[in-house]
Amino acid sequence: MVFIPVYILILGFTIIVDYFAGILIESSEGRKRKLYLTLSLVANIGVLCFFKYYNFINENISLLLSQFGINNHIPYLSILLPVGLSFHTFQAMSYTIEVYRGNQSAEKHFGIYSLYVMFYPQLVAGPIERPQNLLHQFYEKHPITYENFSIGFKLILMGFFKKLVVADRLSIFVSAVYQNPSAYSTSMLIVAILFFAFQIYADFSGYSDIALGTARIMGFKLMTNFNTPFFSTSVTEFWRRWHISLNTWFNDYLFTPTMVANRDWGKFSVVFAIMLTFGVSGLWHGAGWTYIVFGLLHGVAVTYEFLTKKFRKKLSKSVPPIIYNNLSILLTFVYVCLTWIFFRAEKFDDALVIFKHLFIPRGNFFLFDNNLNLIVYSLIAIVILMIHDFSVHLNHGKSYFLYHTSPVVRMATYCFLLITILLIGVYDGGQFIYFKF
Amino acid sequence: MAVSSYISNSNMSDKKLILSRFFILIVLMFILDRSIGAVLEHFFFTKKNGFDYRTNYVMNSTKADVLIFGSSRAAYHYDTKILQDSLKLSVYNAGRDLSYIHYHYALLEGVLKRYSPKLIILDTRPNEFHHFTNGEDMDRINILLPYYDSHPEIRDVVLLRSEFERYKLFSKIYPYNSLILSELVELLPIARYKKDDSENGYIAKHGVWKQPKGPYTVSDEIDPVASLYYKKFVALCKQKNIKLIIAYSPLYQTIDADKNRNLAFVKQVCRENNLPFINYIGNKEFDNAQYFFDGLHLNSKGAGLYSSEIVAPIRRVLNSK
Repeated sequence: MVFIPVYILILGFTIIVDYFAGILIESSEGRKRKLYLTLSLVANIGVLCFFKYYNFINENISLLLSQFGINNHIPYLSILLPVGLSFHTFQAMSYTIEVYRGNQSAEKHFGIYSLYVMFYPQLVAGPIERPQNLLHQFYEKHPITYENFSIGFKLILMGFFKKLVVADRLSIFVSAVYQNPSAYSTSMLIVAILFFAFQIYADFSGYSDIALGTARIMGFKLMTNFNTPFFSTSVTEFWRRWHISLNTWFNDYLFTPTMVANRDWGKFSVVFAIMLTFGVSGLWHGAGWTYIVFGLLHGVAVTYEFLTKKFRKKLSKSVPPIIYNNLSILLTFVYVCLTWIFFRAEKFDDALVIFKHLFIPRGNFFLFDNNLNLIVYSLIAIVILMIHDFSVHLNHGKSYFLYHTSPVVRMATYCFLLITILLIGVYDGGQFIYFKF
Repeated sequence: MAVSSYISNSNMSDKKLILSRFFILIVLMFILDRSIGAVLEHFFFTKKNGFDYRTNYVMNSTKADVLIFGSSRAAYHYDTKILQDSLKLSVYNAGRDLSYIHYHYALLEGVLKRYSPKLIILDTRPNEFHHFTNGEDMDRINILLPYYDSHPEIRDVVLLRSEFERYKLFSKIYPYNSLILSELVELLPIARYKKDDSENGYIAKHGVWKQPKGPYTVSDEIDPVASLYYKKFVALCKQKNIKLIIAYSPLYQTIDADKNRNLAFVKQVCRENNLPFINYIGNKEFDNAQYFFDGLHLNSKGAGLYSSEIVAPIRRVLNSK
């Protein structure tokens, strides 16, 4: 991921294409509508494929051809992925699809449409907005209100806490281990795998919080992107709580249409739609087989949960709810952590090495000689994050502390978070992980 | 006009409420920041052991005749007792792990504000000028943050981390970022009476390296900022008429000394400034794992031998005009 000023032209190209496509779709009928939609989608997906997947596709073609002794002469290109491309391309596509479906009227004001695609708080890493939620807000007046300011401030504060105190702290240890996993003992690998779960959650949801908060202060309401995902009792539920804007996008524009189109297949239509959606979702995250495997593993879990729904419901009645629910949360968390090994590993082989050492333990149980400080700071950060999330989980989506009725408690929470950022925040931890998608 | 109409739409009482709450938060944070910062400062500057204590001692107290600057290689390689007994001069080892030339330069600036030592030994890393793309060489500078207010001479070095440091340092907690654990340890009664476990900054490492001698693989690319500060270090010693020895202490790794650009640069600096150069890279006597704790560091036996061997050249430099 990189910001190159000239790449703004790519954004300009998709904005112009989709702006006119929207107007043409609305003013046309029959097959022409479909044609304009197809052209718009081809343009968007074409840009995404070229910048994100060209070398990956080329590499795999070479590999395939080499099996038959044929050399691939298509050159590799030195392409840098424009910042936030996957996000604003998906947001632009949702606009033309919604216009085609008749759920959204075409935007006539070019400036407003451009703003919809380029709205800066969520331009580089989402949430991926829908036109029905965002476009009309650009026509409304947004006076400064205490409510918006207060909610926005809380979101931004929590976002910075997640990024600086949790994500960037954990990344020090995680990066060291994933750089050379074969050099670490099983216990260190387990710690790195667990830490990465909290790192990626804090990093990405931290960015979303900052984006939502910034927009909210200006009076704009963006969609919630995370809802305490680590309290999910199944992988299916996890995806309803994790990166919600992307998953509802896939649900609306890929999963449901695929399932409906193949409804004659019965249950298999659902299984097929699940596997296709998660495969594509994996690929959306990055041009690599590790990402595809990551997506497919989630597809397998969701398929399993779909096929065993009745059995699991029966089972849940025979076990006390407190045990069943907590065990489900634990198993879901462990499974998601294991799939993230593929997500985080630099190479496919590295992921396999980690799995191997997880099941064939090696090295001392704990090797924290030089890492004790780092581990302790990381644990403190995780505990604070989880206390916050637990309070959100119990308090119907609002932090017990940040939204407490007593102003004293709220003020004390602000001070606590700010002081913790000053005391144990990491200030040179680099960019957000999802910027590279 | 657009802005004013935008604002006029807002409810005045809402704006007042926002401002009043913000004011309260800023006042509260100011009070907390100063109070917690003062407590952290107290514990930081009253430490009795560890690297932070030794940095503080060098910066604010030492009057040693001979000072040794460098990384962990300096801290582990120069046995101050041997040097003191042989030279009949006071010696302090200011070596610090993970430190680079910018840190040594700032430390020297801090020392020279108080006094000028007779001799300085600058132990140079084989990768002293390595170009770090993620700025890892700036990490150790964080330990200079507590001195930013009291030692204006080190501010240029602190700002190498980032221009934003000057704004972050409005906070009095920030200089002690990530030090809270070690500060809390200081609260334990036992810590208050524990003396520094180094011998005037020298840390003896015990144990023998069991691995075969590997190649030295760090890039020898020269970072312009690091090389500039190296030259500034030399110039500052010259300006204050302090005798300076550049040293490459032993290494249990194979390094192509003729081709290494870091080594060539150091030799050039020594030539240009007529500086004595102690070079133990590739020294046959130290081609023995028995003298090493790991591939980069001597153990106490190796440090003893090395320190004894460099006494003669140091004496020659001290006796020269």
